[in-house]
Amino acid sequence: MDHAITTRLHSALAQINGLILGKKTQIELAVACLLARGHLLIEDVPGVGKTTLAHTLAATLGLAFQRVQFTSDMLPADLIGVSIYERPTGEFRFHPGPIFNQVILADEINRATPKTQSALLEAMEERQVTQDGVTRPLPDPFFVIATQNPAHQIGTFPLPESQLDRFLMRITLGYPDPAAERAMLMGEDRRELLQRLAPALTPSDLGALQAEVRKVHVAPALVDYLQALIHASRESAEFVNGLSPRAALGLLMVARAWALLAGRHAVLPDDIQAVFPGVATHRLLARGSNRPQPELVAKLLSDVAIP
Amino acid sequence: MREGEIQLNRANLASLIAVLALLIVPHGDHLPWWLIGVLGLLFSWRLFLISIQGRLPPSWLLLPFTVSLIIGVYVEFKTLFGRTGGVALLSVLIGLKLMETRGRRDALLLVFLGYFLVVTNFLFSQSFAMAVYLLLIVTVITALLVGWNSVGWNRLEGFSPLTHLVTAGKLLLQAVPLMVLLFVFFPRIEGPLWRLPQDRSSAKGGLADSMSPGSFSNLSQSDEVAFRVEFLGTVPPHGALYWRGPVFEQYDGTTWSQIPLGSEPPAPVEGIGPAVQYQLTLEPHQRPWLLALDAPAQSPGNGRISDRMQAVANGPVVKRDRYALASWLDYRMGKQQATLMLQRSLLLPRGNPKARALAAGWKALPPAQRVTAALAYYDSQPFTYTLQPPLYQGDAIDRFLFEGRQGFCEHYAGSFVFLMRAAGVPARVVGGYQGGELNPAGNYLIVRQADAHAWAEVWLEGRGWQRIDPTATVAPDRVDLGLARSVAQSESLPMMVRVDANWLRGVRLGLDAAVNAWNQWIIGYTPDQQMKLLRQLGISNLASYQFVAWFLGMIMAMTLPLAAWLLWHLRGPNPPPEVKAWRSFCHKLEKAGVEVRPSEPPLALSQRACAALPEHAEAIATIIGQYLALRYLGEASAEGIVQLKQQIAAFKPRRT
Repeated sequence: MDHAITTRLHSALAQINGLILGKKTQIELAVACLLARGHLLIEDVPGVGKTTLAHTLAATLGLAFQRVQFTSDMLPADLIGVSIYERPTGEFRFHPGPIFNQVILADEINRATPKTQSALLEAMEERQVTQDGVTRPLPDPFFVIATQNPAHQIGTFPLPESQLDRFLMRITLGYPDPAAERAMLMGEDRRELLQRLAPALTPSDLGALQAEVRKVHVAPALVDYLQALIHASRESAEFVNGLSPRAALGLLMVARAWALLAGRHAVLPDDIQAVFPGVATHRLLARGSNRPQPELVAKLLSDVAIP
Repeated sequence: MREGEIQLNRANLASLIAVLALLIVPHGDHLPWWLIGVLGLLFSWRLFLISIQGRLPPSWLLLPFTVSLIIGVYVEFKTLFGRTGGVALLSVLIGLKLMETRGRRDALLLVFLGYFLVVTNFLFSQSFAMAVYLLLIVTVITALLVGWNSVGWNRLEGFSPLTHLVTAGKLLLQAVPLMVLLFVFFPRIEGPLWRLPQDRSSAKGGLADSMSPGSFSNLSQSDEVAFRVEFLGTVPPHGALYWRGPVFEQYDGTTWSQIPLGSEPPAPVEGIGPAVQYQLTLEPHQRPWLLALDAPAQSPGNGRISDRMQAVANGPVVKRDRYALASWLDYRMGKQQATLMLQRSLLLPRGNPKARALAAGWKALPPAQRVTAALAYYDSQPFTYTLQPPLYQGDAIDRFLFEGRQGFCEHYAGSFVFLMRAAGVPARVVGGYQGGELNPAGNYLIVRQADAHAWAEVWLEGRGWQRIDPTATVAPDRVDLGLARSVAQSESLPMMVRVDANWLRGVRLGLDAAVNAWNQWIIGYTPDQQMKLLRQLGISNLASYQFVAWFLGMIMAMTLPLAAWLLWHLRGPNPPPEVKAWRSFCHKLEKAGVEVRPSEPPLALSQRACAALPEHAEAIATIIGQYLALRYLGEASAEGIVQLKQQIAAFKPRRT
């Protein structure tokens, strides 16, 4: 791989870290998710920087960004776009909706009705939308960052397991530590910083990086480990369901991206362990509570020996 | 219950409770009623709590309850130990344990207590039925364990009772060789460590120690087994199978009774022809006599022969007894009989003038012909053999001989002896059994209470005591073919005594063979027999190191090949060389005090190990780097492996 691209990737990471303080791991996970061509779900309380993260990511990577606030009266057309009859030409013209952007922040996705949710999730999986019989491809790269607020469930439509599975990763940002928070309070206005943000990567760089991720070496021994983890999640009595084959594929891709971010061209068990909670937690609902339980996932990791 | 412990689901808990209840039920016999009530309450309370998913009682409530129950047990039994007290305490504690059982740990404890309860049941009964029952329960408990461990403690889907039962059955079958070895060779302790179980005499009736009207015909309604016999040679014909029991010499007008035995030597007997050899297993009947085929040629090992040729035990037969005997079927007994015995064999009470008159008519005849005349009298009159004779009162013998003429063996034997005594021939009544049924399933003879019989013996000059069976004159089939073929079809008889072929009867005969084998080979395996067997193997002392070594050696010879085979089959594929080398490296790290967790990835381990052993940080980093290159980076090569091995060999951390 071009050395220049690597340098630019790291300066991009540095730039994001400069804006979102004290969240190095989450930022790397989000970038790894993007490099693995997956969508990201951020579950957290309001005001911890979900939008800022999405915006910064898009701006730094030189991608077109649009934020969509999901509400209960939102219709699929509000997302995908509508065809409007134009008198001068006498034709219907398609007005693309916000989904025709490279990075979409679907804010509070669980506030929209299942109909709108599934329109978005279908677009995420197919990477194209069909309107009035015309299929229109979505831009490439296409990256959805959805957020949901776990604390306030009244008047929401929680995503069912099948749709949660479409998100490659789920991360939580959490509150910043005091030092980072202090630096943020004393520093410049985030909004202004965002305005001034220059792209650190070109869209072609991103394409090259995504292609590079696929080339990261995976040893048979590592696949053994990955399979052992997947198997343990399916055998465990703690979870409603085990990890799906889609999750297994996604886990491998994110681990590759993670290795690449670490400057390696082969995946190590360390990489798997680093990304496993992000990939697995939202798919492994605890029996009984039907909620994600990070402790159970951590226990699963510590229970499976590395072969 | 500790935090985070796996909880059992309701169905699993309920089945555990049911199994425990099934194990306590047989103890119901020897536990006091209040304790049974408390246990029933505790078990049903817990089941109720399961069904409504209610809360378990708090410990401050259980504690005083526990203490008072233990005090109750102590007051009842004056001890908390011993056979019954121990079982009572154990049952109480199990019932209370249920009240705090929710999770895996408590359930496991209850399962093991359940296995222990199985053992306690054998302290009270070692019968075949109990063994089968407990074996079934052991299979069920094991199946519960199998299910919990293979499916999960708290989930229900995937539970298939049948599969788990089959697995449990296989596990138990695999344990059979070890069980046999332990049974045969584990030193058998002679009581009374615990008071040995005395299976309650299944024979509720049995021969009484006197013969009064109805005492034998009542027995004809019982198909309980009196004893079982295995002959060493061929089985003698049915008609020759007179099993001699108590001899009744005294008559008071209604009841024939025994004259207490002295310590006189046995009557002299000359056998004619070869003696018949047999082994007799007598069910407990609480009386001092043993049964022997008429006439016994030797004393049984567990008793003696009286002056009336009775085999008598040293005390009441309260547990199942097994003895070998030989008997002559044809014999001359008591040719020179003491006059005292002959004189008392002529005594008669007042009454029965008609019978006396009849007998007086024969006095002119020689004694042997008086016997023939009496038998001829029975033959000439319309006597019937019946299970339901009328009750003869007053001059009972006269009424029977001249009015009713319906009787069972006791009437015939009793009236015949009366006639003989009245005619001046010494005579006595002998009680016992006649006949028996050959069990084709085990080739042994079953003699039941319904085979009880009474016959007469007369003493003739020059011949001695001679057996005369007047019943045979009236109903020859009774002696030659058995009771069932000698009475009218309309008379009611218990199933096992009837002759009609019935599949259930076949099943019960097969079951009887199993019970017989169990009694002989399992219960009958005494310390003496064990010693005999061990002596044949060259071991004379159970307390010797030689025996212990031999015993352990046998167990190991049985289990080690199995363990080796299992290990061979369960071992994973041969690990690649870099993994072997890595394991030895991990081992070295552990020795140096760095804990190695199997789920810890190599880089994390590297960091930790370098921090723990800073002086070896470089070597550790090199080795881990080399290992990663070989295993994960796709740079495997023979030289690389050699290098890794060398690096690991050179890595010698000192213990910190």
